[in-house]
Amino acid sequence: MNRLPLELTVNGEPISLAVEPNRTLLEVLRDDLELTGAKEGCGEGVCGSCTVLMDGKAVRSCLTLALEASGSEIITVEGLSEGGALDPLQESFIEHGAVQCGFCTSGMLMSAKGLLLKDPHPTKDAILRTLGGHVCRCTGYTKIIEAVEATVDGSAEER
Amino acid sequence: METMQEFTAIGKPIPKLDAVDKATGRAQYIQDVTLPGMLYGKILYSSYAHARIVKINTEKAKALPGVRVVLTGEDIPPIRMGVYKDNPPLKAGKVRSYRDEVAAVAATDPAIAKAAIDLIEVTYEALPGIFDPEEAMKPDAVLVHEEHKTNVLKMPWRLHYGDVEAAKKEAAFNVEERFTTTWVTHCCMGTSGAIAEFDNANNLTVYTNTQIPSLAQKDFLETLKVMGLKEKRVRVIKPCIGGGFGSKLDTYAYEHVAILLAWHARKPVKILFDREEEFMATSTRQPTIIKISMGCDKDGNLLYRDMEMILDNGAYTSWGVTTPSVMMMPITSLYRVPNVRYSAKCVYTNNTYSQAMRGYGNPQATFAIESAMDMLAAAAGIDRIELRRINCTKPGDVTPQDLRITSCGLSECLEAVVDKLEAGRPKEKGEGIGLASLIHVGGGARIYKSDGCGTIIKMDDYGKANVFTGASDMGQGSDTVIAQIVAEEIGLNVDDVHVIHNDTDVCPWDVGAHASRTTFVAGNSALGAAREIRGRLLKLAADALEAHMDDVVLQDRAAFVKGCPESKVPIAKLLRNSHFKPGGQMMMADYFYDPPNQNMGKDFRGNMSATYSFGTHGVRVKVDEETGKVAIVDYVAAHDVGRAINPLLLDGQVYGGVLMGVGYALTEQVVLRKGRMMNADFRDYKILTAKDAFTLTPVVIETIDEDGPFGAKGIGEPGCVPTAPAIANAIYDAIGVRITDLPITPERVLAAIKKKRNESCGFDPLTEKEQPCE
Amino acid sequence: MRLPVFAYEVPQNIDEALSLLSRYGSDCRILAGGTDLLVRMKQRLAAPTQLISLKALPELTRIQESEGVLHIGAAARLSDILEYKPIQERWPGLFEAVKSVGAPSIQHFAGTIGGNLCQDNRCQFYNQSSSFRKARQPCNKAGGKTCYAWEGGSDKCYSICASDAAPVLIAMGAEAVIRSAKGERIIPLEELYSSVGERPLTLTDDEMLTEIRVAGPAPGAGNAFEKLAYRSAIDYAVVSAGVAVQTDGKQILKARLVIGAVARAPLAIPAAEAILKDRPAGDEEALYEAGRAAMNTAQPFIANNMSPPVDYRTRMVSVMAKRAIKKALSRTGLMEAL
Repeated sequence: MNRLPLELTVNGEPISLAVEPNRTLLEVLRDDLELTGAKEGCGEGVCGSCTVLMDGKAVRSCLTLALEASGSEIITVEGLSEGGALDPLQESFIEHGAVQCGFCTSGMLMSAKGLLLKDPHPTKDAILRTLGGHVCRCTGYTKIIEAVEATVDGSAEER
Repeated sequence: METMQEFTAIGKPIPKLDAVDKATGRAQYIQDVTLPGMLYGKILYSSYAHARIVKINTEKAKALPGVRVVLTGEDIPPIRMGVYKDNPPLKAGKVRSYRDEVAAVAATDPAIAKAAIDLIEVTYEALPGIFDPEEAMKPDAVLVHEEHKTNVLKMPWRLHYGDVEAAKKEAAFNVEERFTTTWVTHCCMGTSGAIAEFDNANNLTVYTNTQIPSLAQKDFLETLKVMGLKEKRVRVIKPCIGGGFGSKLDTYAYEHVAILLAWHARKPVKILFDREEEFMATSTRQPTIIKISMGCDKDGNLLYRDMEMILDNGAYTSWGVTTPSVMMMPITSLYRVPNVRYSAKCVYTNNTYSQAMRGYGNPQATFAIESAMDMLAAAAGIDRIELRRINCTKPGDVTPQDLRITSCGLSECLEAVVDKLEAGRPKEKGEGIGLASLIHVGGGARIYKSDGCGTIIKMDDYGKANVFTGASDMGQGSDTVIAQIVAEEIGLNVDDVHVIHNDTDVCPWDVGAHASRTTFVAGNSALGAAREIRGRLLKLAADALEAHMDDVVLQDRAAFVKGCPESKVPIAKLLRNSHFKPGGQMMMADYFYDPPNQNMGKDFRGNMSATYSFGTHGVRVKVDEETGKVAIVDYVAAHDVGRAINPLLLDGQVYGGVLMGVGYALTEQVVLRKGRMMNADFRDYKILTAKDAFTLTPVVIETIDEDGPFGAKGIGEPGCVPTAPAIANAIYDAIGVRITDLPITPERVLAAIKKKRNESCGFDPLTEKEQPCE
Repeated sequence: MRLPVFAYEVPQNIDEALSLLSRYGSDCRILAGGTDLLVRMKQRLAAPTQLISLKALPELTRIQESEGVLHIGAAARLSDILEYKPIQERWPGLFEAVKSVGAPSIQHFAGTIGGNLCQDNRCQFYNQSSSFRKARQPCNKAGGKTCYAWEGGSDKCYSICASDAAPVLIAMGAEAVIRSAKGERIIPLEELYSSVGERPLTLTDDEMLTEIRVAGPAPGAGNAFEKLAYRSAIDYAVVSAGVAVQTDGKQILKARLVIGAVARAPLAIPAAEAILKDRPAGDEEALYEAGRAAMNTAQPFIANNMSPPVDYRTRMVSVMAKRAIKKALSRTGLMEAL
């Protein structure tokens, strides 16, 4: 199979690779770049554990061809904490007990980040709709929802 | 005995110790572990529910470049897994379910392994299958295991305390009903996987997702023995686990297959499940058919409870078959009931086989018991909350099964739910409220010959503690709870304590993370070891401070004399002074705690747990009477937890347990059609999403248990135990129909509504008329 | 789960895309969001040797209203459709349908309207892994000669069109713009669907859907979508219903009802349309009759192809139809809201 050139930015670093067309972004991130924070929970785009940001939008890396990400800027959970300082979302997840087994955590964080990048003051419904595309078996979601809400500026009542 | 103690670590909402690693992508799961030279294993499953294997041709698979090993059931020694030892890791001669492992491959790449699996040609001769346990019990039924002569397992589940027949005659009110529960599965977000590796001397290391490192080690040692490898060492390393919930309480074929492949390949071999395998090749919650009758006198005092069950065992036997041992607890001891009878039959079928899952039989039994409580209240004309008050279990009770109730906050839980749910509030059309309570083991559960857990604490020269525990963390937070207990006892901060729980080479024995036992048993074990360290630190401090040991306080990494915190000596300094001197000593302590509970006797009497956890759930639902859809409006979950060592993690167990329980009640089911799983994916197996989450109010009742570490009891499982009956009772309250089968799907609710209204139950295309319900 | 091997091209304009399509024909698939196609490829239900990416064709993602007609490029993201305010205001039925698709963070950033409309039909016996399917003879849709969803088998494929967007768009009279290297044709959207389960679209191998056009509601008109699903997210419809009505202030002049997720194609219910015509807008009995007509029309098509039982799905056709009509009428400004 022919490899095609793939140039993209991952967590701020320019990356240049040659990949087969049938490889997913998730495979390239995990296997080639050793960024194992994004997880394969189902491989069919349902559970959300593989979510990363592509040009600021949350995408399922298991259903995104690596080549489709060509020219894009990818942020994974490893790139969420800049220079060692945790993102407010990460802080909030930790403080609110939103992390249990942790397998869904990186995907939840990246989707929430995508939402907040688009709209720093999302409604509760928007938060639920965003997190509704992720499966978590440990937390019952409550703490995750609280953790995201807590990072939103402004009082919840106003929203 | 409990004073108004000020705690520094206990009772604090401390985030899970590994949360930072997990929130930054650093945590390593089995998915993330690779070893140099590692091969990838893949399993071929059966194409039939029941068939003879006539021939397996592996030639093409073996010829595929990159394939290193191909194994079938004929190539392996007679390894047998499970409590009944009826399950070989690769099947020879016959397959008995679709999840039967027929062959396995190890190759240099996962894609090659998959391609090789597809090249294996198996010729089957189909046999008639048996999928209904009641059919399977008939004398002429097809046999799943011919050598057993019958499909009914020889299991002893039968008890009778008091005289149920006499009580039935005496009772003023009686109810009787049949309930069924079906297969549901754990849905751990991290799929299962294992890596097996042999060293040159044939000692084995297995990296695996397990809740039972010590028992897994034993299973793997047995496998080595059958392979002819005697007196070898087995080391079990547990990477970060993406959820357990009981699914990892037994070893699975894939782990033994990885060992066999690694042995033949002389290379490490990794087997990692995809989501479909996780659904169809890991074991479910035990499905049941339950007959219950219950009666009370004219004042509402329960007189008897009589239950019979049929358990669909599936084709092989794992812990699912032993769930009756736990079901006995609510059957005999949820509310005061003097006369109890129970029997259960476990029956082989060609379905999937069951295992442990959060609650271990308790959710099934409690569904029947608490539904029947509401039915009995209605029959007796007594308010359903009042009926529960009348029969409430109290501290000091000794139940018919000889369970000794020590701390018990059931009454407080019940009243808290009545209060918070505003049970008296007027209801809208289609709205109703329901309640259900629970009893669960809260101080270990003596199912195995030891219910113990060991702890080793090693202090370093800098005042930090390494705690090696037998307990297994799989996300629930035992690592953090243990650190809090140790930190509290020896005056350190929680982040001074590093808990190591992932390696049988360094961690002591533990029976496993099950039965909500870890906080109680591993907590008491850690406390025991910490007390020893504390005693020695106090002695060093007393010498250094020239004070009496009893007057020394350990707090904030330092020791000082009570009342004089200004002249303190750092614990690190005490440790160094004791180490760096002639004849110096490092400080280490070990402790093995085995709780004072009992194995059940011949008639199943015995105090199986050192203490019991209680709780009540209340729910307000709204039923859409046109579609049958049930919406949760409000939910209150009150739990007697002894003491909340970590309120944050405690809430996590309750929220997670309740949502899992609501899924069990309303949406989740493994759909098997003639043994074949139809919904092995997250689209069609409907676990609830964040959009389905509802307002849940957890209520924590602290009864400070005398045997628990700092008074704590177990809370891992209770959250999902009474959800289904609470919801079923609320539906009855809302629309007057009793749903007796789980899950309570919209179609079931609608059919029940139609039946009650005496309306037709469906449109018959042939007659073009509505057909009546039954 | 790995994808099968294929070649990949990124055409830089539509003509290039169309010429690639005509060159590769049936070996080729168009890759937009990938949420339907890539899953089927992972399950080996589709094995195109060539994928054509639409990522460099922004003209296919355009959403605009011009002269009262809404134009949606086939590759417009569902998330962008939700954010286009005129759709919320004037085509609320489309807004509801798009909002109900799967889970927002799955489908909306990746999923496209064209992908939703052109998704392959589904069946619980067909949409399974290769190892599941290996254990039985292939069904009609998989190139075999039987249907597992129909008791006793059938020579027809009983799969369903699960698109949430199609029923309401068809009810609103939407048109599909279809292009190939040979030219362009504009058809009513319902004609995109073949009612053949094995090959549910009428597109030829060299054609592609490029745009959806739908006229805005006139005064006195209303549209709505209803969907029954077991969960609030990540769920296909048990039954869905799209409705467009035109009233004159008192009476229903015209109504269109299309039921989704029950048949091989979105199922129009002319009988219900006949019942509703000329009935007073507040006539509850008319809603009941229309729902019943929908149920009777849908009933012969409903097979055991999804996990909810056939009789339940049949019943729910009438409930969803009734609710969607009522909601559409409430939007004409003539009736009280529900």
